[in-house]
Amino acid sequence: MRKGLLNREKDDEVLELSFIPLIDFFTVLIAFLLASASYFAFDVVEASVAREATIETGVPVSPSAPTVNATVLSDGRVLFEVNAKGKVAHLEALSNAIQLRGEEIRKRWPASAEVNVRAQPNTSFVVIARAVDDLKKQFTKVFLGE
Amino acid sequence: MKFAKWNRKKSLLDAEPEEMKLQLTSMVDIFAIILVFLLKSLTSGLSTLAPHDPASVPYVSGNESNLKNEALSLEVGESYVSVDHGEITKLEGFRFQDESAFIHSITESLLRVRVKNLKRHPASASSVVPADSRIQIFANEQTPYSTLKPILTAAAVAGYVDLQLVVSRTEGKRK
Repeated sequence: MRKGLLNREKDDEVLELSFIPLIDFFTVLIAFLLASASYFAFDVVEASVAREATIETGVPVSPSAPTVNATVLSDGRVLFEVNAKGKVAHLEALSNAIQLRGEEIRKRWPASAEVNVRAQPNTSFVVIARAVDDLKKQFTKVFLGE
Repeated sequence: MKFAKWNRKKSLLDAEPEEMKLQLTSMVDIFAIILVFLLKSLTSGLSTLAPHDPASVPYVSGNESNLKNEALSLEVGESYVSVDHGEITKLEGFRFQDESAFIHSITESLLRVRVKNLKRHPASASSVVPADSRIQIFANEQTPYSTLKPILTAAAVAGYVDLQLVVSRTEGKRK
């Protein structure tokens, strides 16, 4: 009985981990992760390059579909020009109401799924990017650079 | 007689198979190294975006994430335009000397990269929407449209028609 107890003690021997190399490696790992960490959360706003021959892309363009042009001004305002069946409508949106105006256009002209975005020469990229991001929420395709 | 019995018992004990022991320390070491390599090779789109000046990327509110695939990167700074982290044209306060020469130099660089990528991934050339048509524009938030427009023209000429305007969604950057 005494011998059995001794054997059990031997079996229950705790496996020991050598913590020194473990700590070394994890210290290196932390340094590596800190060095490669990204402190900016980037995202992309998708658009397409505007070009005359959009039919070349294979996207069917209905002749009756209204064309929507948006001009981004340097102060963030956007001037919309909707050409539907020969009639041209002009609408204006302040920088914080682009999405709402886009929604209104989509309601009035449901076939208008695309928008061509252009800007004044001095309009900065940040203003253009914000406008494109807002328009992207209403229109299926946003063309830029016309 | 007793002694012989004892000896036989001992030899039987010796014949028992030894317990296998795992060398945990070295195993942990190896897995730590593997972890480092895996982290290094894990190239999600986010980690590959590395503009020269990340703080100049425009802030756009919202939480949407459209960052899906890697694409060719074109960076526009105050004094340079670079493709795939290689400077191709110099600018002076976002201005260029000659527009046609500016478009030509960017188109040439983009075409060179496009040919190189097509050679590397020939499958992308045959797909309906070639992955090669995507371009990520890292532009300084102050870049005027007059500088951006010829760049977009050059991109279109080189076949890069799917734009990905890189923006920052970091709340603290809003001006």
